[in-house]
Amino acid sequence: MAEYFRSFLNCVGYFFILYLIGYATFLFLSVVIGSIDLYQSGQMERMRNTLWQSYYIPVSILVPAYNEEVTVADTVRSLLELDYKLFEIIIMDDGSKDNTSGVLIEAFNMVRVNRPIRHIIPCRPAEAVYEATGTRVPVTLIRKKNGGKADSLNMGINCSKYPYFVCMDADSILQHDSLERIVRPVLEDENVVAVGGTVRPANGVLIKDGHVIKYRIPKNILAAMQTLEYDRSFLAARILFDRFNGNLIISGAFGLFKKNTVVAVGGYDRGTMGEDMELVVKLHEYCRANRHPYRIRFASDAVCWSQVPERLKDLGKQRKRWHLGLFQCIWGHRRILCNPEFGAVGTISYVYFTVYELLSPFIEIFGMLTIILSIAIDMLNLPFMIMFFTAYVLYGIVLSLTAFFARMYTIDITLRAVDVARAFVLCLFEVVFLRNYLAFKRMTAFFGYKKNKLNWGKLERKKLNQEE
Amino acid sequence: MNVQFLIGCYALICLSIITYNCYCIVMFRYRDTSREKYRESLYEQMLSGMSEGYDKGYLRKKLYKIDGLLAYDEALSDLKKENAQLYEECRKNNSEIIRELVHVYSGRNVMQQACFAYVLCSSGAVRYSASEEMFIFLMRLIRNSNIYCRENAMRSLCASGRAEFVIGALEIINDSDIYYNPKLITEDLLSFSGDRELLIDRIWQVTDRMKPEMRVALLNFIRFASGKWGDRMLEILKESSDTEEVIAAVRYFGKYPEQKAFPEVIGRLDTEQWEINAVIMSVLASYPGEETMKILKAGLCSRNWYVRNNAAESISRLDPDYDTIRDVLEGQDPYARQALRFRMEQAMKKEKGGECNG
Repeated sequence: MAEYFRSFLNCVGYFFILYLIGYATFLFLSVVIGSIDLYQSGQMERMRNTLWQSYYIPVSILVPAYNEEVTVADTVRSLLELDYKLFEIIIMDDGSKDNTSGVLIEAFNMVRVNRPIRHIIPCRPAEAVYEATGTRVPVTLIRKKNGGKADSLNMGINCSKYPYFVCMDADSILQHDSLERIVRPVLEDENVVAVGGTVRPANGVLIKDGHVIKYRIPKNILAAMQTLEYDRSFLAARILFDRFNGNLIISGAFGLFKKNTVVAVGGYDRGTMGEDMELVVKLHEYCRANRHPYRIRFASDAVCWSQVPERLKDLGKQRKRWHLGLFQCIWGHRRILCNPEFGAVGTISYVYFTVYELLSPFIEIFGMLTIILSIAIDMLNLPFMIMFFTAYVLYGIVLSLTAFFARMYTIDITLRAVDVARAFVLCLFEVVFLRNYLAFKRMTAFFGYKKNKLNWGKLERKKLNQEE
Repeated sequence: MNVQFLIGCYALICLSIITYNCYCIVMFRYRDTSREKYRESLYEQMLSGMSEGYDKGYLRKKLYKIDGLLAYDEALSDLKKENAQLYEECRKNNSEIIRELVHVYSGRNVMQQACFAYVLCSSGAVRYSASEEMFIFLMRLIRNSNIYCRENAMRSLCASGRAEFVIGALEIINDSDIYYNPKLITEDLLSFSGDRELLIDRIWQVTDRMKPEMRVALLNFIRFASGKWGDRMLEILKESSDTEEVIAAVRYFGKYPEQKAFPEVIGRLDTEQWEINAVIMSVLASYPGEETMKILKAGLCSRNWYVRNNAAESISRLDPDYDTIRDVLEGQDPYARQALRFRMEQAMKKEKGGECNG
């Protein structure tokens, strides 16, 4: 019997060695390539190697809102300050139970209009359309029947008049130059069908007219740890995927899309929780199936500031939703997995997301159970385990700090000594506690899945731009 | 053991990146401060009218470095806002040094070359201190695969106001396989600081040799820049089989209406391409008349959303009386009715001055 256990543990050991080598290599490549990329972009910016055109691509900004009366007017005000000439703002009030529409109508002198809406992709019907008066760019509010975020975005696409659209959250703020920067990849390459922007935690940041006035790592520990996590997981990893056109996610908080192509794939999927990832995967699938030359890019210098949860409960809820969305997407498009027809998307990106994102909580819990089993049968090499865990923690800290320091090349951010010191301590907490907590939450995401299937997953909101 | 070694190597590389980034933080701060100080002192010297007297050897040494070059450009730009006469003097006095720099920066990396091209443009040196070597340098940059490099060079050439070099650059772009967004080309040409009519005349001489997307960019530039080329545009409208070219020509006649173009514009409606029809509906607002109204009403019943929408907008811009559009407003086509009503409402709002500026 002991021999069986020994063989089993050996197999598990080999599996975990392979698993960790893969993960360590991925993280290593992402932070190294991310750092180099950000360094090069920073240098280009310093040396005025940039496009300075005003012949901008017309963009419709879509802001889906549900119970956002606290933040929505400020969000629209900040959008009106963007350094961009040709754009419109469309807010889709998804049957809010609060006064979201009322706040907007009052703030922007909106009047009701009989605007016809072209239903090219499915969405629930509009109840009323309002247009602002006296604003720099057209601002439209569509009050519609409740149907979820994806449904609202589809309504926005139907109503938009420009060939490109940007999706964002109603509680986010776009940096003053973010539109200009997110359209640059389109100017560089006509085959670009989508561009993801960088989402940074807005907690602890003071922004005026789209300019960062004061930046510091948030005082709230949870928000601060997420700041580090965003740098490592989102910024660095997406730069790496961008290298081989393999990005599978464009955050719903800030992304630019070519309208025609999105319409061709049927718009946002209204039956999923991760509509943002679902759309990007559909775009890959559609373009490859139809042999359209295409690129899905990531613009690290196009920045959107978004609130991150400050309570553990909210963070858990958010990550559960993300994980369910990931599951729905990976399962729904499982034919892509390891399929050479999809190139690097199928053989690298999809494998990474399946193994290291979707299955990782289960693999980690399996590892824990194996450790318990080893203790029970007295086969655990405790000193080795401690050494291994310490190496894992140290490696995690080094990676987080590498990504964190690379942020200095992004504009409008200066690092203070206090922030650097805090980053050192927070990295440790993030690697040891937050990561494990989130792994547990992600694993339990499937409980209550049906009940929460299509709700907005609202978190506690604060008014933006408040100093802590 | 091998695994630990691998992870150790990864960690070491990351640690070295952190160290390098820390070094960069300190270095950039130092460089920013010294650049700012130099800009301020240079600006003070320029403003006090000492541009002729200051140490040119020192300036030359500074301009050899990219930070010094940018500080010079910023100081000059500040001076332009403050005192135009002094600005001109400074530029004149430093022409020789700038010309020398062409040789220096030609040997630098692409990023620095592009930066130098930017400074040549923004400081006006390419217009007032131009040399043959400078143009050779810029034309070489146009061939570079880096979009920013090409773009800075193209801007500089346009700022030079020399049509022959701009045409040369357009030919290089046309012959190259590297993608160059037509919108950027149009925008670059619009920044041309010389005689636009002369440039357009030269452009007409080369359009036949250009690729279709390039021709569209040039036609769009002509539309934005001048209304004196109706005959040439009419030829394109009559003869071209390229959708984008036809659209560019139709748009031209929307901006600069000419009655002789009207039959050709509406003649293009026969096509099955909705894009052309939509643009025609849009420009017909510039050709008031019974026939126009008839065509626009037919457009209102089109199956295509954009054709319908543009027709409604054009009708509203023609400001017809109720009787003229009664058949639509009281007609059987709900889509046509809805589109026209909305556009008429918008027009009324605009009249009242209540519409937004966008």
